[in-house]
Amino acid sequence: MYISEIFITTTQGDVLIDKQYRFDLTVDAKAIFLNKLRNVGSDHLLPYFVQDNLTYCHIKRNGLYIMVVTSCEISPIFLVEFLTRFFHICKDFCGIVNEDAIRANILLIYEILNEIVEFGYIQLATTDKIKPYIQSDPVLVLANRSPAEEIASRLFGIETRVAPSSASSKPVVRTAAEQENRKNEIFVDVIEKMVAVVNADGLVSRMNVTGNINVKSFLSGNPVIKLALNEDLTLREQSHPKDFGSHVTMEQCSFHQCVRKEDFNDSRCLVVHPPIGEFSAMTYRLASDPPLKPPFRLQVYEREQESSSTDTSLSLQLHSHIPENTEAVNVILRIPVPGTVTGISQQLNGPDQIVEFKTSNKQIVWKIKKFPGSSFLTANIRLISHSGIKTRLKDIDHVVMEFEASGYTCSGVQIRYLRVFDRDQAYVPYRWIRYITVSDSYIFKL
Amino acid sequence: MSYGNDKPPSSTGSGEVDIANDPASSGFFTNDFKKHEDLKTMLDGNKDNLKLEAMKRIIGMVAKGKDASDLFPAVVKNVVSKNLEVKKLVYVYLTRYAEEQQDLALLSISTFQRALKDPNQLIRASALRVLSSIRVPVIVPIMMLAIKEAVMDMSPYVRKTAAHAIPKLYSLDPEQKDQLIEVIEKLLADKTTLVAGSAIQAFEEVCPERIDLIHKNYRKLCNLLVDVEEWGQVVIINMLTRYCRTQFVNPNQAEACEESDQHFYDESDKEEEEEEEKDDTPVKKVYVMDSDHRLLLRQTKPLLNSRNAAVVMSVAQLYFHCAPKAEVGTVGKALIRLLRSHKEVQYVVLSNIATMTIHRKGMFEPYLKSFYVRSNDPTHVKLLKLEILTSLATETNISTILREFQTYVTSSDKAFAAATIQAIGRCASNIAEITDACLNGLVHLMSNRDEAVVAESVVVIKKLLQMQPSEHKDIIIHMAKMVDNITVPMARASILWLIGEYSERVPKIAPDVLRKMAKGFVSEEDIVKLQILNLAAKMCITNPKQTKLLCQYVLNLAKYDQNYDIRDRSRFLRQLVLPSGEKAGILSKYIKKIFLATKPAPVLESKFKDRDQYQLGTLSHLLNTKAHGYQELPEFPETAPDSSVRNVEVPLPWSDLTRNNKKSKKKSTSSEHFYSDDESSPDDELSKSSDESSEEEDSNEENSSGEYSEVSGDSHAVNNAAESSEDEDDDDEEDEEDDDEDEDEEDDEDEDDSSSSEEESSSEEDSDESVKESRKSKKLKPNIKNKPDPPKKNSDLLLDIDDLCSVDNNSVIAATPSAGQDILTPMLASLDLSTPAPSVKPTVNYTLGPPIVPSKSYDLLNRMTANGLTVKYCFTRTISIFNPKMTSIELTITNDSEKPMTNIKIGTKKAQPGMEIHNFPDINVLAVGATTSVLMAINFNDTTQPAQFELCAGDLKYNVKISAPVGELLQPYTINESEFKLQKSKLTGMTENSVNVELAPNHRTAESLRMCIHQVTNVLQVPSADENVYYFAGKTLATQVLLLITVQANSEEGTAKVTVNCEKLVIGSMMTKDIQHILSKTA
Repeated sequence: MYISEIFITTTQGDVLIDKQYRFDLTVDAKAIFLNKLRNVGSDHLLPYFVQDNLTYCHIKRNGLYIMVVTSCEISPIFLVEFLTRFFHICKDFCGIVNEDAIRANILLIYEILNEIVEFGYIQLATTDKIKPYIQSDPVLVLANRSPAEEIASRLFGIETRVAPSSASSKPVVRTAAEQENRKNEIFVDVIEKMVAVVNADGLVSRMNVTGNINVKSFLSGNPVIKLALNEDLTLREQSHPKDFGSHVTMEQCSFHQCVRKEDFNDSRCLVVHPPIGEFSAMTYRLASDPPLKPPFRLQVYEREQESSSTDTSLSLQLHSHIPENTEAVNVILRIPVPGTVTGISQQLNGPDQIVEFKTSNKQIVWKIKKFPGSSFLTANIRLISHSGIKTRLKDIDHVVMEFEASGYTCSGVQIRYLRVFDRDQAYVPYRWIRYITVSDSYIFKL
Repeated sequence: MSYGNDKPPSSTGSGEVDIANDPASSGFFTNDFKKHEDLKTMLDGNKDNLKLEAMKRIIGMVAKGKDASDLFPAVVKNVVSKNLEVKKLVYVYLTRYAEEQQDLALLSISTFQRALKDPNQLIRASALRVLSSIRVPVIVPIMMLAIKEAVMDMSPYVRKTAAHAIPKLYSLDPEQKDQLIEVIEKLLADKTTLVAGSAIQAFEEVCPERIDLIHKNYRKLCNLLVDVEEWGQVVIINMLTRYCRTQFVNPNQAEACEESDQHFYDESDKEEEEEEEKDDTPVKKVYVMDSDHRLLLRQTKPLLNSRNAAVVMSVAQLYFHCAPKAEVGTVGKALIRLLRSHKEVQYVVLSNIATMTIHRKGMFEPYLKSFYVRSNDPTHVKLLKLEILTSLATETNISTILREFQTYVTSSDKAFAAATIQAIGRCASNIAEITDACLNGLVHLMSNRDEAVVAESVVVIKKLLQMQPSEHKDIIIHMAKMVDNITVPMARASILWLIGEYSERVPKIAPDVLRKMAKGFVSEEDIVKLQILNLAAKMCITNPKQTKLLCQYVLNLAKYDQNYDIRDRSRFLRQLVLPSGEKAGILSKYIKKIFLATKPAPVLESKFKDRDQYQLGTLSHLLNTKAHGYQELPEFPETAPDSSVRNVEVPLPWSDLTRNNKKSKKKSTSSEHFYSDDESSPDDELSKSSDESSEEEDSNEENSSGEYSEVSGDSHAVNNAAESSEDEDDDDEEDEEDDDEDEDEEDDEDEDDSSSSEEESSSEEDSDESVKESRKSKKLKPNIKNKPDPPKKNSDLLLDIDDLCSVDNNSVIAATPSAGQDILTPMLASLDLSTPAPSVKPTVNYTLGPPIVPSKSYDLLNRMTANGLTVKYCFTRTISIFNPKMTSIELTITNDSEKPMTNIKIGTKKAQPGMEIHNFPDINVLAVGATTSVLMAINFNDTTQPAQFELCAGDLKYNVKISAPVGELLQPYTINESEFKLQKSKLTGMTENSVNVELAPNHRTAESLRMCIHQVTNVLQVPSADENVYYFAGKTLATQVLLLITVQANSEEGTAKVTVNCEKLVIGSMMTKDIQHILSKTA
């Protein structure tokens, strides 16, 4: 159960850091991995593969491959878990983990690698345990806004107007110099992931929402905090009969070990002793019945063509039902079309959006940068087909939608207040609370 | 100097990287050389900050995979640096390059050897770590020595490092295996959770086949498991899975076991069950799980909630492989929870679930929805989910599953859509009710636009039809019609095969299809051509009139095909179907049988069917091939190996105690009788008592409520006897209760588990109670009460059971045989078979060792001064688990404040030279009003000087000091009277302190005198023949100096003469004063 080598490469194949633990590899594992990556393509590369009796396992985060190589039989899940843990430790130390951050903190990360694994055996793998052994100070790198990273970093918090953008990507582990002049901030994010299948008539045939309350505390002295959720939450026990009403019903709540939930049943309050690092204080799943109203709805019409041409004219209308003062960003609709379609022409009714046709996988991609709540957008798309077969609406597969809605939780979970129990009252804590709903798998059936 | 060098590496470092990537960077080669020169001068200088800077850059180079080996001489010199940061980086460098520069590396060895003796545990550990990382064969003996020493180190952290060093040494020199196994054996016996995981790791690496080393540690490992760090848990659970498979019988083969009674009894390791064997023959023939097997399952279950997916997975595989079928279901929910995690984890978990569903369908049925495919799942995850859904399909849920499948079929992911169709086919073949519906659906799919979908459905329909060809003529016709449109070769071939096979059902269409095919023969794919040939041959047999010519035509075409397969087939068929000569005639008689024999229907089954040959959760299982280094999971043995090998340790001594307390309240009196006037056979007796003795041994060892240890041990044994006899009673009365009781016991143990580890007070109460009970029973049976107890409870003997063999030259033991019926006698008799009992009179003024002294607690912090934190301490008088030289101290911490306290721990310690303070484990959170007890230990170095340290609670720090009264610096020492007198005579003059005391009225009885002495100090009474003289003996903890107390009481005058003999004058005189004080004090 040991690992032989660990390395981090970029998607382009630059090896950023490389640490061998056992010096037992006779082949150049990095080259083999990069070769494989080039041959198979990043989309189809399985997280595990074996070549020449060596096992390769990787995770891909923020455009980086973190790769581990071992020459022994080892539980694959053990490797992934370790890599994930390593990534989080790096994140706690460096704030963000991306190419620049690693290049800047190469020494620090090498030290971390040196401490968490000993001769291929994992020994310490939590931030607070490893902290005393690390000598170097992290170098802060501002998250630059390359698109790939943007998506990843936004998961933690949208940087629009809510909070200073760099704050959430600061390292959790502080250097001595920072101790004094660091702002006392706490970030609480309510993130909900939505899986939904919406029928053509606008009814939800399946909906599944999992939520997560994420806390990242920069408060000095790690004081106790108290989170109060909205009181109309109900918890569904297995045996409990179904109840009807508009309030939120949760199933399968689980809490982080630092959370005390004595008051949760009465007043929906959570008392949290935040540990070092970022953690999710509570995860929950919403009861799937009665289904919530879908936040988005798509209507597609086929418009009659005057001529007898084989082209098809489609009119797409996307409605947003989220509250007016909120907006969805980075909305992407993927409309697969039959192979006979060779091109499209388009007509859009608003700014900040584009429609593209990907010939490689026969998809129409409609991208909308900002989509304000309670409004709708229309796109008229003409499918051009040269094969002589007219495309019918029924030939079009489900449309997959991706979105991130900020300031909105589809479940209605809210944080009523967030109190910091600071013993000395030495500072005024900055409290940032953010809500975000992202699509996990949001499908319109046509 | 290059550009990259100007920038400190801590800035962005990008400059340097650019150069490295630049193809023209070879031009920098000379500069590179210079750069190293520069680093060398920095290292050779004497400024720490420059050295640090240089080292940082060097390590930066190492990290990027650049060669920095030429700097070795310059770097190795700095191994002696005082600067911790520099030192650390040098260590990092050394582990990387030492192997390449062996000669130079040897220069640094002596530095590490010195560091191995450093008082700071961290330095010792890191020195060992680096030393063992220097992969130079010459130093193998040095490494070996260092490891052996480190294993005995008092710091668990160092021991852990030693455990990590073992595989390193082993990989460097496998010859050392035997010696290493000895070391591993020592490590396995370690009781700290920190070491356990690493020790097992070393065990797995060096000697996984030596499963016998585990026996003695099995129960301990199970009990520690929850507290071991998570990566260690995985290793331990994996090892225990293997252990379980070799040491216990299959829990799922209860039926098989029934045949022989023997199995049943072999498994039981409890003495009552052995008893049972004799008493009642008509036993219920039920499989009874070995209690150790049960222990493992019980202890691992809570780990299913671990936040580490690897831990959850390993528990799941343990349950799958080792638990009774009925219990495997419990892991389902935990695995489903893992599905919410990253896709890499999902992939592994799903493939394991896929295997599990084949064997335990019911396990995941409630979670059907969790396996619905999402649009953003990667293809390999989708396929796995599909696999699982198919395996889960039953008559009841098939409609939901099919509805779900319908949406998948239209997916744009073609591989997935095709797999879905195959899945539908599998469902259809497994569940007879829906076959027709599925077929219809599949036929419907054949009109799909997408060719891949159509082709796949044709192939699947073919398979389904093959299973029940009787009906469905229309489908075949429909398919025949489609031949024109379908272009995918596989699908065309399938249709042709179908028509050929069932041509009799579609006699009109078949020849026509052949005609069409013959026309386009040349342009077909090979696979289709073969099927055309097939079709032609079959048609020619069934319907020669219409098709013989066509057949000839096709065969002719095939004869000149480019593919030799097709040419061969053509020749072969021609001879069979259209025989030209006489010879072939024989075969052509049977031609119908050859071609139109009923073919066996294909079995549509899961791809995961054979995966269960691999252990779940392993890489081999995931890849479905044997990975390098995979160890087969052994099958359960037919009969369980001897389970008594694990008996050395009883998991939790006080679990028995509590149980006893409950029960023996009623029965203790009678049971005592029962046992002591024993009538059972001598063999029986022997086995019982030896069991007990070992249990007692343990209870003493582990019992941390020190002052009671001996009595509780005793009473434990007594109660134990009570228990076993009581169990006998029960068994006689009703057999069924046995099972219930077992469960009871389990529950008890569970409770105790938590309480024992944290709250000693409770265990103290336990033993307290049991003490009372044992006393009660003593009253009832006075001859037992006065019996001198064998001294095997003594500290020196506590640690090693082997010592029991040597105790017979101790006269105290010799005193026992006269007492005949003492509970421990049978065991002793069995050990010293021949030694005649020396005739020593039973002494009058001697009772069981130092006992029931209410422990005095002292305030360390009170709530007023420490913001609501109340800390009290008392001396437990146990051998400290951290180090035998330390005084064990129990802190009782109460939070009297308004808010919870966090992170209570020991901060800076200001110990005087020679003193050592062992921290108690940090308390993360203490709720309002909550109280907790923790153990710490201090080596006072035989002085009464206080030990100072900081107690931190959150951000607040309190300076506190603990000083031990002189009596607490002692430990009891076993000695007999003559030896006592001999030692005393050596310690006269200066080392003797003597004082006459006026006894307070309430201290005039022998009993109260003894109590007084025990209150003052932790010594052991020495049995004496003289009525009015009391002897006590003890040793100091740190230096092991003897201290002897003699009290000569004159009961008429109410005075006593106290004499204390001790080499340490201060201790002697202080002790005298203390005793004088307490004896003269009126209560």
